[in-house]
Amino acid sequence: MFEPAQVFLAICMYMGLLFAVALYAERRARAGRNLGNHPLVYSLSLAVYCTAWTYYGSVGKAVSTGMLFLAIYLGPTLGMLFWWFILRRLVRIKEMHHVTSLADLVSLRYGKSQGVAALATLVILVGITPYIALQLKAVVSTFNVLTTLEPTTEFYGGLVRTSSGELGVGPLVAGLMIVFTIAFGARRLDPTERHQGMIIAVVLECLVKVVAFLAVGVFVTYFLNHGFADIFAKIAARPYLQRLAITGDGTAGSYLIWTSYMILAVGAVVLLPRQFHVAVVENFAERHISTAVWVFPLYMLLINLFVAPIALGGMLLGYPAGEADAFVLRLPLDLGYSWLALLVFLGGFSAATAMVMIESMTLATMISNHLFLPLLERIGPLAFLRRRLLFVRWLAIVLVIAGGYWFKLKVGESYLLVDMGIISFAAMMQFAPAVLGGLFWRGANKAGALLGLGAGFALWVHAMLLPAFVKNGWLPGSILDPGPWGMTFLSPENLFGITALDPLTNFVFLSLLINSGLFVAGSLLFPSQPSERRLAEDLVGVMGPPQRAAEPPEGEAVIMAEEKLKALSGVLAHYLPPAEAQALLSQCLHGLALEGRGCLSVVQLADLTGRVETALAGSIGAAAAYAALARAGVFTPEESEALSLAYADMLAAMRVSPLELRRRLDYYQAREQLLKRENELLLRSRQLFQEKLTALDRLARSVAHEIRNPVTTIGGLAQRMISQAGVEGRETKYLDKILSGVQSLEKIVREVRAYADLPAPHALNQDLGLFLGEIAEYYRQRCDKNEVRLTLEGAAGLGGQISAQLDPLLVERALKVLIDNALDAMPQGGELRLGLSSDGETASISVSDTGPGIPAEDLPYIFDPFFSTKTEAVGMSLAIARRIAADHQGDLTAVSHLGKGATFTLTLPLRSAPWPEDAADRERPPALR
Amino acid sequence: MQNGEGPGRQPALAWLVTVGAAAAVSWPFWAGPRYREPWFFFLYLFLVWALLIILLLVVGRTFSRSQEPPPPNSDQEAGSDV
Repeated sequence: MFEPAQVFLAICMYMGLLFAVALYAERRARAGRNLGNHPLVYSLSLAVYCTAWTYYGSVGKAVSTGMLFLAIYLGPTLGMLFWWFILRRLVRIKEMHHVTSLADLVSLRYGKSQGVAALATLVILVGITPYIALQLKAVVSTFNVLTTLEPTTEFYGGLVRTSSGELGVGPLVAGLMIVFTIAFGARRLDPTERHQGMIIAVVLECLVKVVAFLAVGVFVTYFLNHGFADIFAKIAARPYLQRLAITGDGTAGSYLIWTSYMILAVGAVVLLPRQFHVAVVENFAERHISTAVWVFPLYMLLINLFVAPIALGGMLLGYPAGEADAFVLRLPLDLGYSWLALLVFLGGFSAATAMVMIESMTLATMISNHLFLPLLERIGPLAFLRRRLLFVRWLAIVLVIAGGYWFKLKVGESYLLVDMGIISFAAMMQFAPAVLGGLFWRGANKAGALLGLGAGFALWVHAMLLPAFVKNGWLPGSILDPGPWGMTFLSPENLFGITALDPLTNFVFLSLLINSGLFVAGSLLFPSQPSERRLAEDLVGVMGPPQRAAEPPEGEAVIMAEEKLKALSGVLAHYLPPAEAQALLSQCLHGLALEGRGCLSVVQLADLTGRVETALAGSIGAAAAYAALARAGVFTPEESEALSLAYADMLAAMRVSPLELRRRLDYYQAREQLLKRENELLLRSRQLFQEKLTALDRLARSVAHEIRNPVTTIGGLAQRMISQAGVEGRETKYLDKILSGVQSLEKIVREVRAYADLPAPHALNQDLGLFLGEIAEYYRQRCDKNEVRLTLEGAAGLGGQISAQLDPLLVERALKVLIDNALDAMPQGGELRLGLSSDGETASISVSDTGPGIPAEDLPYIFDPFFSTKTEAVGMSLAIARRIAADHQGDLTAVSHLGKGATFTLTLPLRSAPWPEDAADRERPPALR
Repeated sequence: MQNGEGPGRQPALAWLVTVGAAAAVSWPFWAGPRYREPWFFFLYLFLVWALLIILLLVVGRTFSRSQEPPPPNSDQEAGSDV
């Protein structure tokens, strides 16, 4: 037994560990190393499915209904392959539309409707809050078991009496969860940004709970008994215990209830808000799903392996069946294994806290985006809170967890809470037709979704909640028997007079039938809006290439950009701090390459508005973002008309029938897919090339290093011998030759090191005209001396016309190589021309000379390392210059005609692009920083 | 191809695996009382479960490989024309 203070200390230390782990994960993420970007982390985070209901409740369920508890875990294993197909779609939709929650997804699919989002949020809130209460109850109850306090006598209002006065375990745990959830789940506003800290903490909790459960399972099975076979042999000798290991009585009813549990569990794995969050919102890469497909079922198998032995072991020791929920904790505790009991408690604590934190985070997002925000938009005096959305979200987290705790205090011991797990699963199942139908059926629409979801929720309240209220004594028993207003066919437990099935099976099949039926009927009978049809097309076809067959004609840029940007910025500033709003707008402009444009075409404006809406949806949800942009009136009626005309023109220009248009779309899609694959191949080849280059660098660097020291030593010794008295004649001649050879070797080593240690470019915005003018000035004196005429062509020497993102030190180095080569090629004088031009995407700097030119057979090799036609040169300078160009995502090419000179052209992109990985990885030498 | 989900046989395979596994799990229900003995049923269920996980591992890897782009030297896709 433990003193309450000891258990408090253990809780605080464990939470401290979680804080430390989460902080570490976030720091690593900021440094660009995402711990969460690993398939095992992703797979284990899904184990948040196993809550305190699994941890403690499975044993209780095994005692009362035999192996039926396994259906909750076998069901998802059976449905794993379909879960994969669904999940891939959901992940793609999340990436495209910044979906933040299940309610957000449903509202996005059905025309970005705020009504649908609000209904979905309400259903989830009502269905999940008691489930949160169940977790808090589990923590408080097990705390009492561990500290010998009886819940009904000394437990009062969440407070337990300790020697040092009154301390609240319930409020303490709830408070810690609130702090943790806010710190790691809602510190920023954009919930599509992954919560690395939170996920790593959840993964740690999932590991702790499975290790603790396995430990107690091994203890009961192999320390208290002699293995699985021994336990089952013992119960065979006691017929009254046999019923506790029932497998179903072979009747249709028994099999149907297994099926009902499995269906509910499959639905829960996809649709429970916490599962949606960890599986979809936190997903880093689709390929992680293929690992989760087997790791997650393996986790469920392990955590259930010892449930039946623990349940039977407890019964064999004579514990009452009514206390079976606490067997996991009681068995080690009562038999004197206190530390094992403490580990078990921490495992249960982990199961509960992981669920509460993820669930409250995602519920808070839904509440703030789909319930609070629409209210704030409508109630004028509260409108200022729109800018305090983060604060609103924190408030929602406090409300959800505190609400769960309040619910636990009010109905803590009731029937409702005991069975809340399966009741919550049944509530979430009502989303199945709207979500699955919406993902695969283009014809599904808002009317169908509202009808189906509304009817399913009403049935759930009637058939699942009312019986719980009646059994709790809050409603009269006549509601169950004979039924409301004496109508037997309305009896919640025997809906429509069906008495052959148990209430849960009856509800599962009837609710799915009615919900799906109304969903299909509503979708067929009521027409969809065009915008909803477009969204349906986008979402159902999300696994294919983009649906646009061709870009519409851009049209004339006649819309003043400043005015529109002000409007868009105003919309963003309603919800985000000014700096963030401005940054988001700049990001959208950059993404569409529209920065600095004075005028926009109507199509460009439509693209920009769409991008701003998607970005804003990441913070406030798709429905609210859509409504906010619609209210802002970015498009005037004339512009809307012009946009319609632009798309109509595009269709008219194609001169095709709708059927032919469809065929062409398919053709373009197939073509696009092939091009995409070709592109992937190219990327892979480029990656291989970069890897080889990096390996070559490493080799060159190490060889240069190994050679340099002995060469320096040899040179030093030769020099010393020459300067010593008594060395003369042939010996001096030999030593001079050695010294000269050493100097050549040192030059080669220097050049190789210069190539291998080339620093990564650090981009700065550079005016290329001025830049080239300065380089020309640097060379002017030397040109005059060599009788070389230096001329600037194109925009060279003109400031303010062409700017590019480049590393001036590196590009200057490359240009000096080219100019030095050109001057070397004209010892008798000639003309050196520096040119600058741009095509809008790239800038080209050319260096031309009037020397003898490069022979055609040498031209393909001049950029290779160690290739040179000069006797004194090492042949690394042009290789270095080309590498500098490549590191800037540019190119260096040469054209030459024998006897007429040569022209080298350095091409650089005008806008900064991500540098190649190997370039970015290279350290910049201190001198260049 | 079906909407980029890989070869069309994948959903069919998923159905086959799922229905097969569900039939395997349900077998003791209709096979007779002696197969519903607790010890047998417990062993049977966990064995089927473990086999199903192995099957998921294999199928998962196969599916996932079929969705990766072909290697650079593959002449199956490279150079293909529309």
